[in-house]
Amino acid sequence: MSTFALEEAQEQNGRRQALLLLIVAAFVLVNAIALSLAVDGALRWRHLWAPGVWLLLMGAAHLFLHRFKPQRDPYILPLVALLTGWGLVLIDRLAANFLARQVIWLVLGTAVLLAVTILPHNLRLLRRYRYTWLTGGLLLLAATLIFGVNPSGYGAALWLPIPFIGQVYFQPSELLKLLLIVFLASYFDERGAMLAMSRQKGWRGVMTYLSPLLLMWGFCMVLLVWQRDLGAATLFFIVFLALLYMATGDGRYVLAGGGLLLLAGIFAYFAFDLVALRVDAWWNPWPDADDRAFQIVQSLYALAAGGILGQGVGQGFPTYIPVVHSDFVFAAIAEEWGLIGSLSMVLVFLLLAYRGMRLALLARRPFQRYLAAGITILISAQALLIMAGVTKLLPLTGVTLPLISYGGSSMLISSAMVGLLLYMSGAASEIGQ
Amino acid sequence: MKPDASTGKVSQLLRVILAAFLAVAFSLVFWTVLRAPDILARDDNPRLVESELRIQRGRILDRDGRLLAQSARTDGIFGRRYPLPAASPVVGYYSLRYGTAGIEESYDSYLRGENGFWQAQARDLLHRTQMGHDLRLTLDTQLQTQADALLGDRRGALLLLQLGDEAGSDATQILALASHPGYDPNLLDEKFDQLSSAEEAPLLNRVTQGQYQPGLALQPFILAGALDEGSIALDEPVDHANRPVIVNGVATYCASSPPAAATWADVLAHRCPGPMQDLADRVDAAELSTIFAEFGLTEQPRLPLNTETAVSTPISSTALALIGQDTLVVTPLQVGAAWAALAANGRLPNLQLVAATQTENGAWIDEQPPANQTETAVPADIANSIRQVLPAQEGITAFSTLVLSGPDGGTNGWYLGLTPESDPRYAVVVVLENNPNLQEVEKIGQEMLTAVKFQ
Repeated sequence: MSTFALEEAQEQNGRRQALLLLIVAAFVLVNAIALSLAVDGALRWRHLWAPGVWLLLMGAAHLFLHRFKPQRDPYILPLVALLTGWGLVLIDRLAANFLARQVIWLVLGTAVLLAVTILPHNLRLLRRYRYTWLTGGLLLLAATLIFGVNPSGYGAALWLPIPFIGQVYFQPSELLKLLLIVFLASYFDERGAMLAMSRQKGWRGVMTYLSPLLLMWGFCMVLLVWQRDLGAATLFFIVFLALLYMATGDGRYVLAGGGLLLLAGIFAYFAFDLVALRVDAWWNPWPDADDRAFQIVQSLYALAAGGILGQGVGQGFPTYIPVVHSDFVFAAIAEEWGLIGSLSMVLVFLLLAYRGMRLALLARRPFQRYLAAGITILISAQALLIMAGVTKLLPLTGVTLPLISYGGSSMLISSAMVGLLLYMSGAASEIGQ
Repeated sequence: MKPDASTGKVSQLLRVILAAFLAVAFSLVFWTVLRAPDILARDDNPRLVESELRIQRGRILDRDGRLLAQSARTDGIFGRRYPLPAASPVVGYYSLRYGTAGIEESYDSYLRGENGFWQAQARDLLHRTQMGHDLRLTLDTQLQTQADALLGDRRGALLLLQLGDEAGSDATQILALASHPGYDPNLLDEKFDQLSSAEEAPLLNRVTQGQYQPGLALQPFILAGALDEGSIALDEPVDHANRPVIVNGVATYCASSPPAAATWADVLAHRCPGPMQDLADRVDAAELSTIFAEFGLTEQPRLPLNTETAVSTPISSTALALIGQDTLVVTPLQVGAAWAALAANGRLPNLQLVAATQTENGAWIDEQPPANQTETAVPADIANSIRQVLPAQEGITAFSTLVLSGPDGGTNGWYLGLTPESDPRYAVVVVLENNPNLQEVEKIGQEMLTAVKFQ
């Protein structure tokens, strides 16, 4: 590509991203205004300041990427902007007392996202020290067994208090998600080809290469199950299976893994009350609608109440769903924006998945391919697990909707992942296509 | 760079992701569209209550537009207020926890403003507040208040009717309808358990649902029927008019002393039970049942309130039935309608409680009572001759009696009154339970008629 053509492509990239961001901004601001009118009957600053900050952040991110990453994928930032902006409107709607914190996390997340996009050295540090990164992540996770707390005062103690800053917590399992993907990507980058060839030597040959991998992965799973963070454990398993399938091309791993997941589910059903509750509530929630299945039943009411066009922002009753701002944001979307809104949300995640997997396809190096695919699969699987849980396709797994639900650690790590996608998109050859 | 095995698998994984998102999309359609009507209708759906709280129900007004019920908004939700608790036997109540009663029940969809499918869709789409329509009753706030005060602490019922109006309508409008003991609908939620379990049954509308032994209160109607059948003549002599009748071991006589040479007119005027039993020789059970039916005593009156029909079991003893001590029990409303028929040339009344309804644009439409002009209990001359026989004083024609209420019951006092005497325009029926003081019942009825006459 000539210099002129490259500059032209970069300009076109910038215009495309700017146009999409403007559309997203219009959507977010209109909804913030509608929320203010619905709740207070007038325009109130308390509903507008957060979208204002978001607008500044996204504008800055656009200019930054245009300056430092002109060849990035122009669709990823608008998609992420839509998710985070919509998320802010939702948190204002559902749990306004968490809004300021979420905005702070968004500021930090955007900073991390942009910082990651200009990482030097072709991610060598991530690849070279994969065991160190993962071990660090596991140590942090293990620390929650001793120092872990739950900010809400009940439930699994998955958070570590950040020293010297009062009332701020970090969830190591979120960090571990990214570190595990980096580890798997690095491992398959190095051993993937040998792993594929070792299949000719039978299971013993395969195990030679898989053992370190399984060991590290097993540590993660043990810790997560010990912690009762079953949602994260399920996510890890899915990402692991998907990348293993990418590396080996052998569907039997997926089948065996699926079987193991099912067995683990059956075991968990009998071993953990929480799992039994969720499975029972999923299978037939109606007899226990006022008690153990209250949350899922309220979620189904929210879906039904939304109908096709929705109740309108601020005009439904999604707050009947316990912890709606973290686990059931999708139900709130379905109630207030209707089927149109919830299908749009599905489409946004699908488009993000498409752009991410496209990056994986275009990646020049296997490490980047695994990394892009791993991040995309993780974000997609997380969105799918909670969407399927809310719509009663699957039992609830206790994960949040990435970039939308309330949660600082999730916002930071998801932003870092998106940053990595943008970083890699700048290196892909067919920019702007 | 040589592609490894992973390249081809990326597309497959993307297809899996696509399929999973599609499954979520189908599930969304299933819950938000296909299953939504079933789910939303479930009793434990809190949105039913929430949406109910956001409906501005229409007002209920008296005949002059004075408020009887209205919805007041606080913090975005509406609560029902009843400025005149004394009107609760008619207005009823509206409660999220305990449902509706009275006019609030029978005109519920109207008061809620449910105008049809497309209007509801448009309202939902535009997020407009559901506004109900107003109702104007025939009730008169002052007379209702007075009726309530007249009953006081006594247990009983009072019904005041207006027979036709100045405009020439032949509708019989209900001006006051009181039932004691009653309840304050403003405090219903707090006191419902107490009210519903109370022995004196304050939630029961005694006018429309109280089933009383009629006793000799049936005498004007039975004699009118017998006269119409030709079984008796008013000037026909009656022997031993004041002979006693034994009911449940209690001897009852005429309310006042009849002349020695008494006629059937004297039997009615002096409310003598003895000769009524002799009528069994001339009026058989079938004929008596016909008389009851013709005066509407075995039918459900058409009124937008919960009403009880008389238990129309077959007559077991004609002699007892002729003095109202057989199987037939009646509500004051039924007796009031029969009494109005005697006052209005024998024609059964078109009872009216709702005077007008309001349209969406605020215009009032007069409510037409159900037409039954063709239903005549007895010919006009019979009705008039019976009425003329009844004792009259100060422009009020009245018939009152004490009635033994079953083997274990007490004595109920009945008062049926009409005014003016010559061309009655108002009718009243009063029943006091367990009250052997006939003068007390008569006083209530007379004061009610005097109040309406001089209003």
